[in-house]
Amino acid sequence: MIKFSQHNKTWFTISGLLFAFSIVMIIISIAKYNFHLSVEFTGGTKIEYKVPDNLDKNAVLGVLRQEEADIQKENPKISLGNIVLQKSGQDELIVKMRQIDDDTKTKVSAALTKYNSQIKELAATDISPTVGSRLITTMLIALLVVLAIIILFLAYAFRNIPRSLNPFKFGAAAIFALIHDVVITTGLFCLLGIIMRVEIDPLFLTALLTILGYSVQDTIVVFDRFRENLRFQRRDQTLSDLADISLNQTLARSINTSLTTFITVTALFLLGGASIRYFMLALMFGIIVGTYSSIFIASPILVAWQKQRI
Amino acid sequence: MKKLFWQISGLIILIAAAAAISLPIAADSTLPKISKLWRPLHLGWDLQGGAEITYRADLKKVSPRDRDSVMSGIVGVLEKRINALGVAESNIYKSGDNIVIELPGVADTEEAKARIGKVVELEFKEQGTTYSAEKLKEINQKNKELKDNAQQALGKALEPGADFERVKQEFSDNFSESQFTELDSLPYSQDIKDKLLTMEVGEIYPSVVDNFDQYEVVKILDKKKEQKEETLPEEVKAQHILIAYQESERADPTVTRSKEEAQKRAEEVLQKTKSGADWNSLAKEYTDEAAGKETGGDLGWFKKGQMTKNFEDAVFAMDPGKISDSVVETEFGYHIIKLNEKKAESTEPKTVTSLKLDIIKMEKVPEVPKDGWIETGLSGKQFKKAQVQFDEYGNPQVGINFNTEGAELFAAITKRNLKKPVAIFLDNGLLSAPTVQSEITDGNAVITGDFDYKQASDLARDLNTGAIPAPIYEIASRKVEAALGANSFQRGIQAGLIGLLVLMIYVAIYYRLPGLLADISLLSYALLAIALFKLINVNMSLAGIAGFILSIGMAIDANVLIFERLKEELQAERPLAQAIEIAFQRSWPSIRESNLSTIFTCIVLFFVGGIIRGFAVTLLTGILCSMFAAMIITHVLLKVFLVHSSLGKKPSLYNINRRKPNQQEND
Repeated sequence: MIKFSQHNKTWFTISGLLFAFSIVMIIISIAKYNFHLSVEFTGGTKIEYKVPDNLDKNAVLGVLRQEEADIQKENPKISLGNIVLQKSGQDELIVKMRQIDDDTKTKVSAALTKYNSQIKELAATDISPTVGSRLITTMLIALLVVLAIIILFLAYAFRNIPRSLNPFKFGAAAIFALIHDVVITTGLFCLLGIIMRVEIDPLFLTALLTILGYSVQDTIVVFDRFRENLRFQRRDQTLSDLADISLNQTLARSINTSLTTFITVTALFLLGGASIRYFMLALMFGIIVGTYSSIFIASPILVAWQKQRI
Repeated sequence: MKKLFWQISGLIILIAAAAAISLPIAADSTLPKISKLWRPLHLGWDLQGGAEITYRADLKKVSPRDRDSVMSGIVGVLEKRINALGVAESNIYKSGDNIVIELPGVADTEEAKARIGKVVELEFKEQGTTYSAEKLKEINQKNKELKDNAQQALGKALEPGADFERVKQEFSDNFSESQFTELDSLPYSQDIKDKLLTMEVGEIYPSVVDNFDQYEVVKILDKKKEQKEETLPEEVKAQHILIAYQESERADPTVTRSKEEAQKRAEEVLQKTKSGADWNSLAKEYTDEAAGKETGGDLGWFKKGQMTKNFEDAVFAMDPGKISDSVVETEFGYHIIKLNEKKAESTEPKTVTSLKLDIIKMEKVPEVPKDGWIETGLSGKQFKKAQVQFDEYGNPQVGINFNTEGAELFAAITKRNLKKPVAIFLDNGLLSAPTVQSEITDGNAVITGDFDYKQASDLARDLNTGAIPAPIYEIASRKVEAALGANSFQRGIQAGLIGLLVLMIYVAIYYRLPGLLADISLLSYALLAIALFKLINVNMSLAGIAGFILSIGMAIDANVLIFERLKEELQAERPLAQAIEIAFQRSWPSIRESNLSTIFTCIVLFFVGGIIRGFAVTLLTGILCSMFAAMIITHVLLKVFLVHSSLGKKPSLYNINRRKPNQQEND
């Protein structure tokens, strides 16, 4: 049997460092890069072009990226962000990108016309966010409701535990692990944003929600085993012993479940195309952090918390 | 055993039906469809593209400083309406002065448009034919502002290098397609038409055109001249002598003779003309038409339709140079007619100029109530809630609860209109005008109309999502491809299938025979979930796929939980059949609790709407299917292949190390 609880300090230190690092990354990202929010959140520029009907969208993307790099040589602050290319009908191309000034617009259009003289700008407008601040507010409120429901539900599900334990602490510990997972994943993406200009887009939000669901699921399974073992607690067994037993009993399950889900997500990461790559990366990372936290964080926190009271 | 047989049969039928509905997954797959039950999977905007609809808001009644907030208000209402449409995930954003909606797929765009673009302006009006002086002043002020706007538009359009279409986008109220119209048929005064005739293509009329109910800035888009055959109708030139009597129409007061006397006198005059007397002197002597005495009763040239019926019939039947055979009676008296000349119907070549105009239109606010109803100030803005209810005959109607302000207004309106009708207008159309029976002070009103249930509930829903603060109209609609490229969904499916295959191999190797059975259960789960996605018309976007992947993870988790338990129970030396039952019993709380917490999360996220809804729907559907697959399908499979077959007697098939000491003594 692996004695996880003997190394609690190590796990807490690792997580604490990761958590602190993530918070720093998040703060830097917000302060310096406005979180690298994507066009969907910030609004941007939409330019429509008349194009020949056999146009290769990837080539157009390449031209735009090249032009972006050229512009950045003069002014490193300008970025086109995630470029969205959509064809309408045979001969119209809609390009959505980060909001750019008129000068940059002219340069971008000129670069495309230079690439193919049949490409002509039809219209350019600034567009508002598709994911408005109201939706984000609603979502944050919804998340608080979700967290409250999880705490209450776990308190209810774990109501039959011995008197000395507080059922609300199960929910709270699960939430703690969840926040740990979400913050660290966000921190990683902020780091990617700082070095590679990876953007925070609506898909990333969805990935965070997925990680949230995954983390809670993982934690509850361990807690459930813990609850079951509490019923057969021997006098010589401490809570730490019970936690270790429960973790060992669920270890194979935790690893197998995570590994199998990880396999599916990795396949999509490798083969699913560029558009979902970062989305899948977020999920992969979330699964690792989620599994780690359900084993090394959630139960130790629960035990440490209960010990203080006893 | 018998029970198990029915369970297996039921499951086989269910899974076969799920496969028939779900395979192949993508509509454009090269694989043949399994059966007629097959349904397409609706893909989201990000995977499939769809319709991009551009709306323009009519902000002429909104003061410039409120425009931003009104635009945001419109976007907010549209968002709510799109959410109310169901599972379709759409994007909505402002693009310059326009509002763009991206609707996934193209299936029921028309229906969606009809729902989204509705103004839903509910107004209560009372009878009246004139506006109060105060209201008139307000209207005049608005129209003056409107004219200033038109002047401004003209100024912008006349700037060198100006783009007329842009100016039109910015100012115009509506965007009808321009067509060639003959100059004569244009609704302008002759002065304007004359000026237009001299202008070249591309020129803009140099001042704002005040065209009855709207101001216009007019540009000539195209001009063509056509030679047309103009048809000239039959015409006659005639003279007449009129003998009136006292009662005949327009008779001179000096005429006192009776009708009989008049007829007799007319017959005499006719005889005299026939006997060759000079027409002009007869006319001078006898006619009762004052003007005709000097001209010999000459009527000049006239066409059909200009004279009274009897007279016309008689004169057009005559031959030129002849005098009528008998006297002709009309309401003016008795006539003797002489037809001098007659022109048959003919055609004549004529040059007709047609113009194609591009017009910036700004509708004026009418100065008199158009239909006898005037505003009361009470509208859909002052209510709390609308709901469908039924009258005593079971006909659906829509009940409205006003807020405090609305309730006070409604009480005042019903008080001053007692026993008079009060009209309810929806989107400027009269819906109904019930007569007020008594003053209503409780702030409740009922909208009756010729509704069926769907119309009533649609109206209630539209009222609840709110009125769009300013009218909007569609200015463009087009199909747009997915941003990710047409093959990305296929590619995603392939990647997902490869992932699933690797996962299944892993499960089979690790758990051996139970693992293989879990693989079957997993495949069944996937078929069930996809069939359900198709049946409930989920719009599968990337977020939806994320939800599905997460539910795959949870489906595996349930199986893994059960098998780990099974291992433990077998290590505790329990008989196989009993171990299976206990494994299911013991793992159920874990499965239930972990999935229930996710189900609650999904329900909350569903109500957030927007991009999150698809995720919530697929995850919820996936979880329900995965619980079914693990607790029922896996269970039945284990019973069939382990308990009721000789396979169960080979422990090597389920990777159990029975020598391993059991560390935990349960029970």
